[in-house]
Amino acid sequence: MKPPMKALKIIIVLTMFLAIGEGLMRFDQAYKPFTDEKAVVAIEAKIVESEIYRGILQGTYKPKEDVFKIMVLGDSFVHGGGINYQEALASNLKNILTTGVDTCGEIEVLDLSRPGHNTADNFNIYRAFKDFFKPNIVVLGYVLRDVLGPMIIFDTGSTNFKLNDGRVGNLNTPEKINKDIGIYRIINPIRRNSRLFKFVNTNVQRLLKINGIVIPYFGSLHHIVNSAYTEDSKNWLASKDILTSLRNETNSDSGHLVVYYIPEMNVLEHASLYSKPDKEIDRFFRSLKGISYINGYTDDFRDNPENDQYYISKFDAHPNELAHRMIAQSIADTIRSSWKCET
Amino acid sequence: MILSASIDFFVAKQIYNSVQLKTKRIILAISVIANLSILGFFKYFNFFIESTATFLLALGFQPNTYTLNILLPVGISFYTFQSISYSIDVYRGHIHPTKHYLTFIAYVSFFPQLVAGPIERAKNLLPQFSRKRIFSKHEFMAGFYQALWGLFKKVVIADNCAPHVDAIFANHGSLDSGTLILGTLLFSFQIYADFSGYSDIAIGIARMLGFNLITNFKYPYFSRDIAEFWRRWHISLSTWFRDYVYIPLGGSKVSKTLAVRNTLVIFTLSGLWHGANFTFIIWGILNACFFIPLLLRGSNRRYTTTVVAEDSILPSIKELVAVVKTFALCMVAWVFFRAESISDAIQYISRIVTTIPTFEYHAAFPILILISLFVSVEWISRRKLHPLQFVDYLSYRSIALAILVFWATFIWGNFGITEFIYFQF
Repeated sequence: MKPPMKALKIIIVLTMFLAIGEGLMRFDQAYKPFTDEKAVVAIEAKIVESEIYRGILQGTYKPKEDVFKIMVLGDSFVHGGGINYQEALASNLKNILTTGVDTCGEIEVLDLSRPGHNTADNFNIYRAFKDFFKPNIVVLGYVLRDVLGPMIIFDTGSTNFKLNDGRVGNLNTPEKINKDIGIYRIINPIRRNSRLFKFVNTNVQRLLKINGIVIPYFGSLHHIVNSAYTEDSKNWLASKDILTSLRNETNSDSGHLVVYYIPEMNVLEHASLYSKPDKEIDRFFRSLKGISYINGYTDDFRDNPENDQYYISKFDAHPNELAHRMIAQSIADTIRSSWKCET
Repeated sequence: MILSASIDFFVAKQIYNSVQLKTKRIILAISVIANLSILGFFKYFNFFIESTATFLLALGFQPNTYTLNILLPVGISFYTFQSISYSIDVYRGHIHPTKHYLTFIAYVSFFPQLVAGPIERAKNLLPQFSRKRIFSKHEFMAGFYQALWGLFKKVVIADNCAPHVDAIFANHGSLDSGTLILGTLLFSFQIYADFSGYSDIAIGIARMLGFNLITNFKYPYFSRDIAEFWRRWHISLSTWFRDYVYIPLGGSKVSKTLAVRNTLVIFTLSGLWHGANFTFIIWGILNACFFIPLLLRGSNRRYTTTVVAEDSILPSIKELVAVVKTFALCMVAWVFFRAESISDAIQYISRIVTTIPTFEYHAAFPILILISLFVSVEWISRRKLHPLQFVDYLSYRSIALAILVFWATFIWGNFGITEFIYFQF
């Protein structure tokens, strides 16, 4: 075969390769003929509203002065995504602190964690509820992705919102996307519209990630998160300001902030995957005076010989029931040793 | 493996150099006993001790059992048989012993087929290591296509059946007959797709490297009787037992009684080869029971050269009934193969007979559709070695079909951590 014909055949085969894959992918997504029993566990982000929460919204809740009150903030990692809510952090915390020899007596736990919350959301919801609940302890379960999304702060008691210092950032919509130049004018529209590309990209990255390997620059969460924890990242700068404000406000409200850094449970054995953000987060919280900080990664899970026991699925980073109990135990130990549940 | 192979390498030389038949026989016996002792030690020692203890307990004795906590070497059943066959073939004068130790070690440990076969013969594979291999695009593509089809069978068919099979066999005591039959059906396809898938991958990879391995499966579920099934299922093992056990015992060219005995012996040994468990032995005996009536009627060699519906697209009613009947017999035997114990297998089958089918296990419907498509593709390709065998592997049609299989594997494959079933043997 002559070289031009050979080149033409290669182009035709490549086109066939992509077209058949795209067609099969679209057929699969349209009819889902064989997808019932996939090994991947879909994590359900179910929201459970506690009685105290509903009581505050309805105006029937009255805070008692002599009851030890804990407010819990965080995203689905804290709220118990993928597990029974009764096995999640807030429920465990209450159980641990109200049972056993070293009991705290009567306590109330207000779980304000919600799937998808980032640092700004956690701060906003704290502000919205703090005067109604008057927490003694605010527990913040911090996760890597808390730095993502819009960092918009509501003014207390106002429906108008603006950035607390005028900065805004949203790494989910990087500016680069609007600047398709050169070969990216062809690649990026395919990348955005091809279901096959998304499927291959997601699955390959997921399989590689659980083996401690990542392909950079594919718009993966890993890439976004790693990019977000740099010194000049708008979102990380805003996050640090917000977290400092959270510390300041809890202290001035006679409360205390306990931060628990929750690691990605399915890749605990691959320390290098998030080493840069891990260090940055750890450095920041250790420098933040007046809080109690527990690094779940280094203190509880990383060197634990059973560190493959704490995830719901190897393809998802959410903590399972066992991990929630361990996290709650660590936080409860800190609360007991530092404040002895005194209001 | 090195020990086993080394014994046969030196024994074969001694056999070849010996003049007297008696000496040759003694040396061969040393080889066979040594190899089977190694196999027996790793694979059957615990089984033998536990079985004896159970027997003595039943007689009212209190035996002190001693079992070994040892790991079973991967592929021991495969390479031991491959190594033994070399010595026997030298003894019979079918081949000359190789002078090169490394060549022989390479033959025994050839990586594509080391852990799960096909069980190769020295006559076929050994000379290929000494011959100069020249890269052939056609052979490389042929091997690649076969390996791709094997991968499809493994991760799409076998591994998608596996969760249902595990669930049904684990809970068989509370399930209805419809679900239990479904479990057996799915296991039949799981083990076929798993094992033949591995064979295709092994043969395909070997072919890509310039080696030709023997065919191990020829669409066994399209067999018209159990004798044909055994000529199409795990061919390398069946022919091994035929050549080295059945024929030396007299095969079928002896009295009916001896022929029945020989059949029972090879099927029981075949069951035992799969594992140290009575379930495998019963599986072998059951197959013998299905085979012996054909032997007694003299119809066990009725289908040796043709495939079902040789000259037509669809089978005749008679052929269809014969194929379905053979498949049903296989399904019964597979229950024993898959069950944890004989009592589990008996309970499984008795529940099939005694419970009313409800067909409430809907979760397996998608995989049933997949199996139907798979069977259709295999039916269309039954005159070829595998569905991706083409005359021209670089034609657009061939490439398009291979691409289709590739993406189907990638999209619908279950890429969990399920091992090949035959790795345990």
